[in-house]
Amino acid sequence: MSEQSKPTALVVIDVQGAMMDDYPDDPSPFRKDEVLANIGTMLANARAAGSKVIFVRHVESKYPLMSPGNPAFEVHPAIAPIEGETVIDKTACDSFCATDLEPILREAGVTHLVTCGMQTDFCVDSATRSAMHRGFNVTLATDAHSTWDNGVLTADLIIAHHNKILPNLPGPGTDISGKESAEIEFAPAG
Amino acid sequence: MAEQASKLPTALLVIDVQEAMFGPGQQPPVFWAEETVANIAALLAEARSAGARVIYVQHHDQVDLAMQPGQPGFAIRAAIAPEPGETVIVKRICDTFTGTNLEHVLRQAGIQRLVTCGIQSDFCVDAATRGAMNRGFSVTLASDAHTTWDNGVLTAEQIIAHVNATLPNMSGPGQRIRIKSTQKIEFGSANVR
Repeated sequence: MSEQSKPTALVVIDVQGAMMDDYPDDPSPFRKDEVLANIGTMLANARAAGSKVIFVRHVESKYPLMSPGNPAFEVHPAIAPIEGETVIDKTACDSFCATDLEPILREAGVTHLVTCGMQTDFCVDSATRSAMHRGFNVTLATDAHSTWDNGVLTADLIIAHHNKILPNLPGPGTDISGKESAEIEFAPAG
Repeated sequence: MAEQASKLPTALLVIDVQEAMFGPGQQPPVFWAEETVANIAALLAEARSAGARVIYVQHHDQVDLAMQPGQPGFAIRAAIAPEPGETVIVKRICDTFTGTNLEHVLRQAGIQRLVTCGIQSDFCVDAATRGAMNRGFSVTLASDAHTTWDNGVLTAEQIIAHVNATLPNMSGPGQRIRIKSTQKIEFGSANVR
């Protein structure tokens, strides 16, 4: 299948200052710098290819840092959106839940998503599963998502676990694959 | 709060507890197989006596020949087989809500709360639990009534603990997922409308 036949969107999930930066009692996630660098690589590749780029931000109104208006709510400056890119705010974990993400993707003719961001076990897992179940093929950037230790598992094991299971979910004719950021190809989308 | 939720019209969703999951065959039985089945049996007894709706989900696998309709491995585990009149929904996709009429069945019956259990913790149980929450249902995951296999990265026991630790911390459009052990789960009758 040629690249042109799979219009692609890069979806960067919840990579906000509040998530990435070091705060008292809320340290940076595992391998923060590497994750930001890998997302930066994919953004460059996606933009160069003319893929759709979408940023998702999580609103958690009980946390001031995760509330609109707070500078830490914004997408992390290291990977900030450029003019014309779409930014979607959500309150539920799943980026597709009660947002315009699916109609925006359909409108742009996107059939293939690349997912990355925060947190591996929460919003990245949810968006990746949800996209596949909604009929998109999904590539999970295996080295561009992160989380924190959760008291049961360390962050590196959580990341390895989700990288292992997501590509094995049976979908409705669509599937999930896992690839490293530098290996992911991007195709243009409306 | 918890007591209020447990009075909502409830359905017990028993996911993919099929004979093929218990060997013998290409794979060993799921972890904690007998304990999990015993806990699901306890949930079923409680749900039935409370008048909750009982719904079984069966996975028709796209690849695994043992999990095709007509094969012995496809059948729901005999120890917890459905009773006459209980609903069985066959799915081919991980998320029980995708490509099935489950949501329609639940809405028609006025169900507002689901209790989830079954196999596999990290695949279809996780997907159904997230899926139900995202559709606005109140959901309780039975912490000791779902299981899986080791996956090369984590042991089954670690995976179960990870799912139990993760799902209750997830934001949905409404209530968060609750997690409780089988003995502490109450069921609301589905017959009051």
